[in-house]
Amino acid sequence: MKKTSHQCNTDLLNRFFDHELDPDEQARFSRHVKECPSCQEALKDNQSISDLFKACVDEKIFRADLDNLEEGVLDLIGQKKYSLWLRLKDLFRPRKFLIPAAAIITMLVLSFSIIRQHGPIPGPSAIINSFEGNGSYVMLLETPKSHQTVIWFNETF
Amino acid sequence: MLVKRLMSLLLFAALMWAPAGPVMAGPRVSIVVKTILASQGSKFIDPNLSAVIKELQSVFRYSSYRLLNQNSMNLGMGEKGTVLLPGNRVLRIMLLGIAGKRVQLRLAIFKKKKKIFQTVTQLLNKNSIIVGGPRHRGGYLLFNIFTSF
Repeated sequence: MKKTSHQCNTDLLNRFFDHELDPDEQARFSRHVKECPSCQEALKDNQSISDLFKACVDEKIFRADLDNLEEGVLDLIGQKKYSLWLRLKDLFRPRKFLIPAAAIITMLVLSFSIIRQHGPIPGPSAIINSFEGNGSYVMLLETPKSHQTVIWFNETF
Repeated sequence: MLVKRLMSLLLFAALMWAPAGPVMAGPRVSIVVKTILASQGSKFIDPNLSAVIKELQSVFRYSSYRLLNQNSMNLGMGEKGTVLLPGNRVLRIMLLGIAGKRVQLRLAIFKKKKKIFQTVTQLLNKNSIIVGGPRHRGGYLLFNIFTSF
């Protein structure tokens, strides 16, 4: 018997059986199978198992009540389509959620309060509308950080 | 039950901590005048002035800041308050009005009954203006005028 590279390789045999080999390989392995009794035997086994499985499946499908099955599936889908209110109710059912939510709301309220209280000063601390004096000069200053207004005048009297 | 109690507690805390808004502000204005002597020489900062001086040191180069006097007053619309200043000087403050977050004041300094300084200023609530310049004992007088309403 002529020896080939495909001699009794189980993996190749299975792929050959399932028609997964590329055409050239399929042809080569087919030639090998014709000459190899053990592979022929293995292929027969595979075929018999496959036939048996297919027969069982066909029988089950034949006996299956598809109308009943369809109704069952539609019933299951219908049960999932409950109202938005029920979904929200389900969302809030685990009350552990409420404590962190309340804490977050409180933190936000406090943060806004603190920002409102200590926010940046809008402009200088004081706006000078008018000035009168007998000094020779007057300076208006503003501190860099808190924008405090400073009036510095020279007292001559 | 526990959840309700916790939420009530948090709500109460939030309400207590939230600052009162301007709606609750009264028509009277509280004014505090600090008279400070700034001078060169030994380094000294009055502990009561640390917050004020920290900011002033960015514009002034004096080494000593002493609190000479502190006066408080509470003025209504059109009312006047007087503060005696060192060196026969007098500071007169008149409340002219409140506009938004600012209070309008007329500040006048007199020396020996003669007006040497006058300004009309709009001072931001809970802020201060500093008036300085008069000489006194080798240094200069600063008047820190703080208002709140």
